[in-house]
Amino acid sequence: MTISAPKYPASPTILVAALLAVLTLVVFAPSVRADEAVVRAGLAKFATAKGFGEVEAAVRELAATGDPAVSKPLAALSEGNLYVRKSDAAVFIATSNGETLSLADPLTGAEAGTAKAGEMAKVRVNNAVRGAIRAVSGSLTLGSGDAGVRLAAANAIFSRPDPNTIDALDAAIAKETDATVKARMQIARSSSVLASDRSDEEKSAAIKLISGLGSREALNLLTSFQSNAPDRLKEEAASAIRSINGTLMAWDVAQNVWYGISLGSVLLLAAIGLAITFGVMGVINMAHGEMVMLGAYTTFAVQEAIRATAPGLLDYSLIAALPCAFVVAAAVGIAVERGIIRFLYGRPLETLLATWGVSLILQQAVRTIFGPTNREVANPSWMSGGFEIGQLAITWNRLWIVAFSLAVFALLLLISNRSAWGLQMRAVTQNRRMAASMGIRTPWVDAFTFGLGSGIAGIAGVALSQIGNVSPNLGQGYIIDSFMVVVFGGVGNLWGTLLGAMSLGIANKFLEPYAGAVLGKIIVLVLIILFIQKRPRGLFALKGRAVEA
Amino acid sequence: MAEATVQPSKTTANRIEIVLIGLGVAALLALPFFVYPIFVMKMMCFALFACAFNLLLGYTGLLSFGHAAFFGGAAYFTAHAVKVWGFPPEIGILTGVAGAALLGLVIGFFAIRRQGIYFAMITLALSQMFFFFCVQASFTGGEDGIQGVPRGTFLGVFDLQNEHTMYYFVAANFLLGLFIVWRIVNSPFGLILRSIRENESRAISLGYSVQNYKLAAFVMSAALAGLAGAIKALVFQFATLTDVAWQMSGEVILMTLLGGIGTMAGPIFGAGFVVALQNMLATSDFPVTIATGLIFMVCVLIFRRGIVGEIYAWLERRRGEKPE
Repeated sequence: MTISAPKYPASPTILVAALLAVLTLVVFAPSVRADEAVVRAGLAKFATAKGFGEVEAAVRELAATGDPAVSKPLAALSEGNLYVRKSDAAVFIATSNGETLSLADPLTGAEAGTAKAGEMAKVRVNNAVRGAIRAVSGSLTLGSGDAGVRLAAANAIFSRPDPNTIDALDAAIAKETDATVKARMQIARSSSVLASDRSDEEKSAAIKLISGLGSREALNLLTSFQSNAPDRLKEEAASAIRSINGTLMAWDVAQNVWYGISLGSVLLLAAIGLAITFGVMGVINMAHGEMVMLGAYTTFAVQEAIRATAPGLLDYSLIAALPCAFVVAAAVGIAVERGIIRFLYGRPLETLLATWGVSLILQQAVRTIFGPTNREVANPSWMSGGFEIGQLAITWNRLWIVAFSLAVFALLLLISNRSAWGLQMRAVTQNRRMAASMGIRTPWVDAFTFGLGSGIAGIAGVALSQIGNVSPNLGQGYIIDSFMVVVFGGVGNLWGTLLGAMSLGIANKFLEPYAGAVLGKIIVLVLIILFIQKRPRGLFALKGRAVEA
Repeated sequence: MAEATVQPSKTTANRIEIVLIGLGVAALLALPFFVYPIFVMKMMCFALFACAFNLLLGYTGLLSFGHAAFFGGAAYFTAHAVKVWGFPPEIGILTGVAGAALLGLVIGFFAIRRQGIYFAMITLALSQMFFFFCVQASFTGGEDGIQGVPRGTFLGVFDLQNEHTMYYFVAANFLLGLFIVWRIVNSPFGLILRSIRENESRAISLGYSVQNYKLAAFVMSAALAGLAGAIKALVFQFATLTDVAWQMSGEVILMTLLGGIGTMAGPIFGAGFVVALQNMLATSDFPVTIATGLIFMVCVLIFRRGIVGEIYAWLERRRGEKPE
């Protein structure tokens, strides 16, 4: 087990020093195991190593012993806590204690007295050495009792292949019982085989194993291997790279679909309120984006309040913000409807202009109150981070927003199809005058619908505060997209809005990589505009005599 | 039908307009000796822009929410032509106008097929697209815009570096633009536009191809807005993203609405008022956007005819006639 890497031949002086060190250490540590002497000899090389190259060689040699105990001195080394006593060239882990250093045995951690700073010499490390330490510490933990640690060790070797670890891996694979970890170890071994000077047959088997992985790092590994491989293997590596590229492309499509769904659900939240008001009242509320912005600022205010009064509940601030944002936005919405829009009934263009005025005032008011700079709303712990399915990276906050927007959609569907109010809303959407003559109080329906639409915009703001900063012109960008969703999906049909939002989101994300973000958006818009030339009432058109586009 | 409603108000309107035009031109010639010329030139640019917009909103009944694309687009085209290609100012302005007209043709082609809110939102969407294009495209200079645009010498004779020469150059263009608008409005073509505004179905049943007329009006309006933008680029010697942003589209609606839609003088007064107001508020603490928003709401809710429109209506009432 003590084979040192052939590049770093051990010099006679090192051997002598090692022997001396072993002798000294035997006195301090009576219960030395058989191979601990070897470890100690390896450690002693730090005392005589000249230059970073030799230190790195010593690190590899230590690691080659395969003794888990060496991870402690290696960690100390990488942190710069490994010292050599000048008088007898003994190696210690030292922690600074003011003027003096308190020493500890590098393997057992037993205390070994103190020394003045001048008596000790630090073993110097650079980034190359630290890198080597990271790489070898992977192979050290392969024998750990914890499957997670073994998996991490295999991963570490895979990302930094090292021919010296093959033996350790072989031993670990033979003992491994967990199938996942075993597979991972075999892949790590393959990557090390590729970096070694083993036979071509072994390498070609390794290529096959790695190409089955289909991940981006496998691709990188094979690409770098291909560049200086012998001709026969080059061909094999190239075909493996092709197959990985195919797999990656499929994952890319999946990733784009996911991004599209995530963008689509944000659009859905922003657009669905607009869809309801546009359907029922036939007016576009240009201040709709500002309702989203108000919701986001309410979230910010609620979070600040909770931070000031009950910091322990900070994780639940979003749940508290939801009703607040709904109420704030709905109240503003109803005020706008009662104060302005109802006087402009039947004049949609003037409504557009008046609500645009409202949006300017709201924006400026928020800018005056909260300041023009971006505000940050913190993610609760259960919404930060993410996980991976294959090559698909999914963050928790996106997943929550998708789930949340679908929940809001389901709730609205329930209101619209199962409640008396929903029935009235649909009646007014289809034929306002007939509904009025049937005794439905259309002004009330208008006001509450407007409140509902605005309130939903408010909770859309809560969701948006989780994926970006909150600024006074947060909502501005959403009004056109939302309108396009409504137009594309068809007025007066919630399912149309859902489909419109999702297809817009996915189309946007698919066009982005090929055409760039701006051109992609332009293409999507032109497509929608062409589409409504053909079908002016959108995908799901309402049928009926008195429906006016 | 259209004749009947328009004719009676036309006589009074004409008389007032003749007086106003005389006074206006005289004031225009004298102003640079009393007021900061750049300020008046800015007013003229916006007034022309508003008149061009009014051609569409006031006389054809189409509310475009994307006129900034033509105004700012022409500014970019002119600035680029003069600065990079080294064109003289007259050719530079023509480049800007032609570019705006072309842009108007494309946007108009898509937009005129729909009406009302759909028309407004489609123009808004398309002009936003143009805005993003300007942010990305290399010739516009992105966030920095095109700066240091040379004014050059008009026809190789008039040195536009001179503030007063520039002023009269702008004034001449302004009057030319107004004359074109007036000529369009008072032509048979303009009457057909008004008939479309009043009753589109009837215009169709009379055999007019309404779509073509609308598109023509849209392109003319875009070209005139382009003229205003092109001049602005020369006056201020830069072209920036503010001129293509949708706030600019809103501002021109505000000017027209405030002055009075469907009148010749209205947009001029509206533009003058808004520019002066912005100038005043720029030095005070009161935020401009709140004033803008309030004016919008007040105009739409209670003051629908605008300044000049209210004056006309008041004159009509004094004559004992029913206002239109």
